[in-house]
Amino acid sequence: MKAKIEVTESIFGALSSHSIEVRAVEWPELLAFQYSLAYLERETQMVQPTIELESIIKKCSIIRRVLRASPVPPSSIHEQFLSLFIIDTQQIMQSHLAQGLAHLLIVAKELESSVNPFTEIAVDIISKDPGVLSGSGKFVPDVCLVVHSDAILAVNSWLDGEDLSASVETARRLQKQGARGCAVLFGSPELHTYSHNVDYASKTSSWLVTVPVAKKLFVLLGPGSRDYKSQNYELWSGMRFTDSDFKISNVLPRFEIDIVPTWIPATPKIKSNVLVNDTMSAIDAFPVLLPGDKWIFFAKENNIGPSPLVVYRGQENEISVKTVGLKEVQVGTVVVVRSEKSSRDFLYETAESWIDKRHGAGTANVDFHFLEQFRTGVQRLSLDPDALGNLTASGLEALYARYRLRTSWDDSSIAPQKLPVFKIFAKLIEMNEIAAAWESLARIRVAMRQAGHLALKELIDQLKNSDEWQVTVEAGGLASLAVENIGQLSIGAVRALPNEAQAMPITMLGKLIDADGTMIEDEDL
Amino acid sequence: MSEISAPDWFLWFKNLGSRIAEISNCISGDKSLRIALSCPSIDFVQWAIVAGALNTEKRPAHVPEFGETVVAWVGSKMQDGTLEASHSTKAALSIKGIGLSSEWPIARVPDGTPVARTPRSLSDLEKEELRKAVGRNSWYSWYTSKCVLPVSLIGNKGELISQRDHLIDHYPTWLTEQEKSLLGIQSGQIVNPNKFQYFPVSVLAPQLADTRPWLRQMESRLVVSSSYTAFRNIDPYFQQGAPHIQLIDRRGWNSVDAHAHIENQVEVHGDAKFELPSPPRGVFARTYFVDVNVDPGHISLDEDLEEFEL
Repeated sequence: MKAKIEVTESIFGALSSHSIEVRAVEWPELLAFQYSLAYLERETQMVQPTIELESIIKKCSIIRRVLRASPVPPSSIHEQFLSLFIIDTQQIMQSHLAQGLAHLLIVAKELESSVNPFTEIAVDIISKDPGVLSGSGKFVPDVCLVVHSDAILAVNSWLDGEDLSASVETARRLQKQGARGCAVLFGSPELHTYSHNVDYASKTSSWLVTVPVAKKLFVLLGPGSRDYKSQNYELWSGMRFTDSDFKISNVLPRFEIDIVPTWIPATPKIKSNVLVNDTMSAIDAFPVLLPGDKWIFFAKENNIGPSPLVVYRGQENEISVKTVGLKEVQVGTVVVVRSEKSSRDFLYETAESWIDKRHGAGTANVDFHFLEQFRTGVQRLSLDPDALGNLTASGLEALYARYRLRTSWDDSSIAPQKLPVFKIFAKLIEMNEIAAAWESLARIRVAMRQAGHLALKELIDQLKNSDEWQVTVEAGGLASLAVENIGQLSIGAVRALPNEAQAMPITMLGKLIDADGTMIEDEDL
Repeated sequence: MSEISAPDWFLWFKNLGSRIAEISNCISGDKSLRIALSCPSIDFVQWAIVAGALNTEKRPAHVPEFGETVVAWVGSKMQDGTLEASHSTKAALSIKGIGLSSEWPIARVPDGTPVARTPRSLSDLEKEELRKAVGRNSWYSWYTSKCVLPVSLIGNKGELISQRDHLIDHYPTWLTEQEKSLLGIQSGQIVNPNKFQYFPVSVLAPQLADTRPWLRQMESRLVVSSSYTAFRNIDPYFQQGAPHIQLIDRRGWNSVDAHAHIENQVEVHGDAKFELPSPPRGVFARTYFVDVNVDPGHISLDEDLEEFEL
């Protein structure tokens, strides 16, 4: 295609008044669907799935691509959902992926009947478009919907059905076009490019937010989108429009408190009744100082033990929480900490009832019996000085073997997710009924994930319903909050982050510890 | 003369072309300026820069000596000849027996340049347009000063010529009469490397210089690489002494690599911290200096392999 000067002129012309508005929306049903699909994708990475399962995964990934990067209501792609349920899943249901698939189909049903939050925003923007006068004297739409290429047909058909007018483009097609009056980018720019590396995807898609595709660009973020940070899209440092050029709405800022630097007490030496002198369960953890000289420790690596749960608060007092890596926590960041007993009871109870409800009463008992058997077996194994040697002799990498032995002490960890690895451990701990145990553990994994979603929802609801804890936190104190079904929680702003690693049992991570190094029990709070 | 009416961004690039082309060319041992510009679009931007660069008065860095081959307007045409001292008291120089003043625009033609370069005559129409644009009968001196130190535009020849034609045909008010007379040459020879120094602007594919050391050693008033592919693939010795402007289209498929390449160049050579006029919104710049080295001449593939094997 030959370049036209009008295209260049419209791009430079739009730069003078260019603005970006980023809006984030929540869509729990799509989020659950994505998690469930990601689980199956991960599980089938190493092992060739059956044709039927492969077909289901492919169809689901198309649904995912369409919904996270377009305004179409899920019900409008009914046929794509329907195609999931007509596949014969009998054979798959006998494999270890049965639970994962069952969960995926449940959340797919929920997703189909849910509402796409992008739809309403798109309708609102399109209906406000005055249009532009074309060469033939007719008004033509001046709004461009930028969607994933898999969604083009669905979006056009949805627009027709709603009697709405807008041009529909993919990012690729937009690359050679001039700037419009208004454009709506569905999903973060990364969802409109092809790369498995998210940082590289940000760079390759950066032109969408550094070249004006329209005078006014809306970037709508939903599940699957990367958080919007201008620096992710800088190809050279400083290459961005000034901060006033874009505003983010509906993205809650971190709840942070100004901390005046004062004297920092010495980091406590952990006292624990759990064996610390064994190298298998002890890991290097970093201390975080909270108000009232209370401490909490986290592993530097993200995949060991719990991660910090930070609080986000909007101007209208909207509250949300999110787990982040330790390196993202700063002095002043407000975090939520669970105390000893409040930890996993709710998750286990919810998971048990979910399993019994779906698979018949008594199933959960059997499943959790296997979990207990496996976990205690591996814990015992971790105390055996020959364990590492035996595991590496069985074909595991030393680093991975060590990681698995450590995480047996972590109650958030269940079991290896690869069958051959599981078999190696099961054999070493002399576990019987390996096949049945494997199935049970797969069921627990799905159930725990479901319970995790419910717990998080419960926590956010409780945080929203009470203001008292915020008053305490803002005054620099450590607030205590009893959350129904979860237990006692402490909330406060980080006062200091001393860079002093300390070896401790994995079970002590993420829990409130007193200045003298003892773990704080619920009744002490 | 008709009035200029061009958008601000076009005038900015034109002004940039003038400012950078004004910088004297370097000789071996000096440091030569490179400017990389990250733009939201580069279509037509290169022609604004070229037009601006041609507005400057500039002389080649290499002053030819008697006995060297030079290019000049001699005998009503652009042609090569040996530079000699004039035997006449009225002229300082002589080419092909024709006496010329010491101010006459000439440029060295390096050794190895094809010896039988066909002289270039201008059509009556071209002469008339130049006469009108320059406003005097002695237009050829002005015109020759542009030709002997032309602008090199590196990139996709077909695309670049098409953009130039679109600009002149549809937006004539964006250019002055003089700029149009210099850019609007309809001869297909402006893409012929053998005719370098015979036109005010030469449009070249980046690989052309690989086997033409004489082309690399000629001088431009400004080298404009119209894409990452152009400046990545052009021989590093290509007209090193002239300032280079390297354009990056942020919408381009290789934009990430292009920006990374420039960051790397700035890291290796150091930030030139060259002050540019405040760029339009959305245009970002990086500047650095490169050392000007002696061109190694033509290296055949065989020689290359031998060196590699050693």
